[in-house]
This record gives sequence, C-alpha cells and structure tokens, in this order.
Amino acid sequence: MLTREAALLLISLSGWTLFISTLLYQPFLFLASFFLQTFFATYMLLVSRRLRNLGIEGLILERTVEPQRIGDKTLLKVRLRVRLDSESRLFVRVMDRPPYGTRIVERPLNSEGIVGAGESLESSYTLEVDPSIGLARFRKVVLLIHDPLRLCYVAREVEVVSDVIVPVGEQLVGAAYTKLPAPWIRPPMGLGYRGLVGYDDEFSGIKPYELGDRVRDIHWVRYAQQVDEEELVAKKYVKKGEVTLHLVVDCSSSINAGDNAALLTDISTLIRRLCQTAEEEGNPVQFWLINPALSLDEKISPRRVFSRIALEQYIARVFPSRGRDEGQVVEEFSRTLSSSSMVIFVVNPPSQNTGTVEAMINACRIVGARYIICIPDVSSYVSGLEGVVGRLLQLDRLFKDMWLSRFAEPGSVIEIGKGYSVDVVREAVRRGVDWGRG
Amino acid sequence: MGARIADRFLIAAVLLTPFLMSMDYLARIVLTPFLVLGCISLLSTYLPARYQNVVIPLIYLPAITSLVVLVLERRPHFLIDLAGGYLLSIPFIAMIGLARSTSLRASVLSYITSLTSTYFIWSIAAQARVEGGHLFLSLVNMFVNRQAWEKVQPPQYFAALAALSSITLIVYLWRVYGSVLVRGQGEILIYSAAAASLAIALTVLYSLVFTDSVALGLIIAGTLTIAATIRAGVKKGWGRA
Repeated sequence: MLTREAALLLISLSGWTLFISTLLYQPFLFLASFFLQTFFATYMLLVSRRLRNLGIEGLILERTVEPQRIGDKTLLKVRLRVRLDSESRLFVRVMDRPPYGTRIVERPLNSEGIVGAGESLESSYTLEVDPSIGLARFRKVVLLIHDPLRLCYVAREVEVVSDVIVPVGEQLVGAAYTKLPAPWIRPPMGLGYRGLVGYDDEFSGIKPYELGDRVRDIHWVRYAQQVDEEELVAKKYVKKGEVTLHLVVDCSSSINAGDNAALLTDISTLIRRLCQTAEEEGNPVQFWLINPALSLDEKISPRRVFSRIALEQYIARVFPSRGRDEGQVVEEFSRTLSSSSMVIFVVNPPSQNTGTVEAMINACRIVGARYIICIPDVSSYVSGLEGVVGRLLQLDRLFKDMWLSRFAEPGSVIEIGKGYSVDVVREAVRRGVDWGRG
Repeated sequence: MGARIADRFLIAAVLLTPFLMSMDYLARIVLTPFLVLGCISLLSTYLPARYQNVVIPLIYLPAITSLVVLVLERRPHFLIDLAGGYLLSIPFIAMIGLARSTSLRASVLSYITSLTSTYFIWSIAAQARVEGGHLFLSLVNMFVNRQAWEKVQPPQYFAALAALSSITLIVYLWRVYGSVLVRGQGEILIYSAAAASLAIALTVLYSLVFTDSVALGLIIAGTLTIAATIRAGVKKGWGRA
C-alpha cells in the first residue's frame, strides 16, 4: 500500500511535470522533474514487490496488560513489544485492536520505529473498560511494515491472544466465578420467551385512530367491517417491557447469623445465582442495599445486566452494619418500580430496618409488582437448639410468622436453609414466573 | 558528526544549482535600493522570533514609502522596484524551504519549486537586460508575449548542474529519511536511480531524432506512476496510514 505521503508525492510530481512541460517548458527543468517522478514511481514499484514477499517469521510480539482502577473507572494499560530476531532491520508501525467493551482513552505512544539487529519497539496505550465487562479478550495486532523512505507499507496481522480478567479495586475479580463459561459477556436484553423475560407490546383492544398513531396499527379488518361509520380504528397495545429484577437486601446486623457468617455466605450465593439467572435470560438487575454505612449512591445500583465484576462489587457491600438506615431508598424505589418488576427481598426480621423493608413491600403491592421475600430459617444456622437458644429461636419464629402474616399474597415467602440458597433461587424464579401467569 | 557534515554537504550540493542561477540573474540586473529592500523584506520573515521588531519595519516601511512617493510625487518606480524585489526573493524562499523541510515530500517539492522559480526569474532578468527595462515590467511583458520566453535560453551548464543536484537530492533524501535501513536495502536506491536515468537517456536520445520527446517523457512518467499506484495499491483510508 502507498502511504498518504507517497500518494501526495506522486500527485504533486505529476502536476509539476505536466505544468513544466506545457506552460513553462525548459528541457532541464522538465528532465529534472521527470527524473524525480520516474525515480519515485520505480522505487515504489520495487519496494512494494519486496514488501509483499517479506516474511515475518522472526517477528515476535508480546503484549502485557496491567489493569488499573482510577476512581470508578477501570483502565487497562497495554504495552506492546515488537522484536525481530534477525540482523536485518525493519521500520514497523504497530496497531493493536482493542477488545470488545473497551475504548481508547490514551493514544498509542511510540507506536512506530525500527526493529531488528538488537533493537525492539515498545508501544503503550490505555483503554477504559466498560463497567459491564469482566473479561477483555485481546486478539490480533496489525503490523504495518514500511520501506526505508516510508512511502509504502504492507499490513500483516499477528495473532497475540491475551485474556484479561478485569479486577475491581482491591476486590478480586471474580475468583472462581470467572472460570464459569460465558459465551456472551453481555447478552442482549429481553430475547426469547423464557421465564423472567417480558414481551415488548401486548394487544389489549381497539380505539379510535388518532393523529400520531402509527399507520401499521390501524385495524383494517375492523375498519372494513364497519358499514355506517367511516372512522378509522387502531389497535391498542400495552407496553410490558422487560422484567427488571430488583434485589433488596437488608444489611442489618441480623444477617450475621451462624458460624463463620454462614447466612451472609448463603446470601452472597443467592445474589450471585439470581444475577446469573437474570444474565442468562437477559434481564436487568438493580440492587437496593439497606445499609446505613453506605451513601445513597452506593446503595442503589444502576439498572443493567451486571458483569461478574460489578456483581462482586455490590456483593462486597452486603455486610452486617450497625444502626438504622434512614430509609431514603424507599422513595427512589417507589419511583423506579413498575408492574413488570420482580422484587426479591432478602431480610432477616426483626431488624432495625424492618420498617424500611415494609415500606418497600407496600410500594410493590401498590404498583402491583411481583415480590418474593427470602427469609432465613435461623434454626438451620445455629447449633444447639436447647435451653435459652431454643427459646430465642422460638421467639424469632413467632415474630417472623406474625410479620409475614401481614403480607397475605400466596407463595411470596421462601425460607433460606443453610446451604440451600441455590435451590432457593430456582424456587424464587419459578414463583416469580407463576405469579406473573396468575 | 561525520554524518551531519555529509548531510550538510549534500544539501549544499542540492542547493548549488538554484543558487548559482540566482547569482547569475542578480549579476544581470541593476540593483536599486528598493529592489534590494523588497528582496530583504520578504526574506526577513524567516528570521527567528526574537527579531520580530525588525521584521515589521522591514516589511512595512519600504511598502509605505513607495506608496507615498507614488501618490505624492506620481513616481511609480519605487513601487515597481519593490515588486521586483519581492519577485527576486521567491527562489531564495524556496531554497530556505528546502533547507528547512522536515518531510520527504516537502523537500522534493521545494527543490522543484526552487529550480522552477529560479529559471522563471532568470528568464525575466535576462529579458529585462535585453530590453533595458524594469524587472517587474519585463514580467508583465513576458506574460503578455509568450514568444518572449523562447528568446532567452539559459546556459547549458545549468542542465548539467540540475542533473547533478537531482541525483544529490535523492542521495540526501535516502540518507536523511531512510535512517538506518539504507544499508540493508541500498540496492533499491541504485535500481530506481538507474531506471530513472535510463528513462532520461531514452528521452534525450529520442529528442535528438524526433520532436515529440516531451510526449514520450510524459507517457513514461505517467505509465510508471499509474503502475506504481496499481501495484502498490491505495487504501481507502490512507489518510490515516
């Protein structure tokens, strides 16, 4: 390929030669311009031939990626090193192809130079990773090998595979989670007719056609059946939208039950599996953490399909906290909720935040959203059911039963037994779907 | 250090042809104060930034003075001389551009510009000497009368000098822009220069027998250019390459 410089040079030289030969003819001027044009054209012919036949066996490319966390952004510092195991030298320009879900925030530095005979080229650039991406998959690197005068080049693609798990701050990315197969890093929302997925529009009747209605919505059959009236009739649809899964977690001290925080571990597993199910179905998830130790922004997550990294970020915020939450989340929760939402409450009453949870449950009932209350069976987490402990557990059971009796919807409560959180997810999803059908 | 001296020597050799031609035409004309001022005032724009306070008076004072003389005393000679001085400076500007160019294309184009403009001014100066008129008026006459171009012919040694400086330019570009790669791929330079020289020789030999040698030269150059473009290829987005 000709470079921009070469193309412009040929155009300029041709222009000059034509100008000199037609308007200002003087043999020595013409011959000088003719000589230069002939020289560069021949040079480009020879060089392009040589570049096409050039082997790149000795070229070695290495990519190192260093994840960085700055504020709420995840950056990847990418370094490319090009070496040539040969005594000959080449002028190369290296261009990496950023992986899916990343964008370049800092242009490549030193992306061109000479390699070979002991010299190597090191180029670096910075990428910003989309928050929903947990795995950056680097693939091909494009090498532009130039001639000495940089008038021609040949492009060669070299496969340099690097899979980078994107960490979030001090938290680990994903530990074992990233080992799970993920054919789609971020599946499209609302595809298919699976359990949690809603439908876009649903026919709900007819109405007189009004200005602004789509022509495609005109009910032509009904219009044709009309004899006396000549009024157009349009189909009416109800927008159902996709099902958003709202996860409300009461992070009061009551979730610190069992040996080695067994309940907390089960809640984390429950949240992970719920999000995984939602991800598989393409449903967005939104977190609502009732935790007085967090700011309002940290309590409420954006509504989206979470990557595993972002998910771990929110799970890390589920920890037992002291004190009572001021309950600002309720207002925001009420505003966000719609009838097509599905809410899962993870709560262990009695707690200081029980009032807040009640307000959120009432908001669901007002809107008509599906909700499931997941409460732990504390007796399965505590060893030694005799004596004082046994009586306390009975009291706890009594309070829970009284509290739950206020929410009369059938099938809206699921108990979490120790180590059975995975089964709970399956049950919660099934009940959520059944509710929608009911 | 040695390489830098060699590069400077080469660029001096490249500039030799336009410089000698410029000296030739400067020797042919009658230098008046405003002619010299016009030439210096345009060249002064290449002075470093710290001489800005000198550049502005150098440009404006001669221009304003000549205009004032024209309006008050109805004498246009100063203004015409000043315009002639501006004309004289064009080849020098091209030469400075060549010496200071930072890209291959700029170097090549500056070289051709300096050669063409030098010949252009040389012809005007030669015509002015023949007619005994002002440089600027000769320019107008030559534009009006196309046959005037054929009256003046530069000496033959300019052709030899131009050939020498063209070859030197290629060697200079190869050294400066080819960096350290030139040693490994030096044969391409030799093949290309040999091919271009053969094309020149063919055209010159053809001109000894036939009159349409320019057409032959244009056909050769055009064919090679199109072949290079097609063989090497031009990418759609070559603006970024």
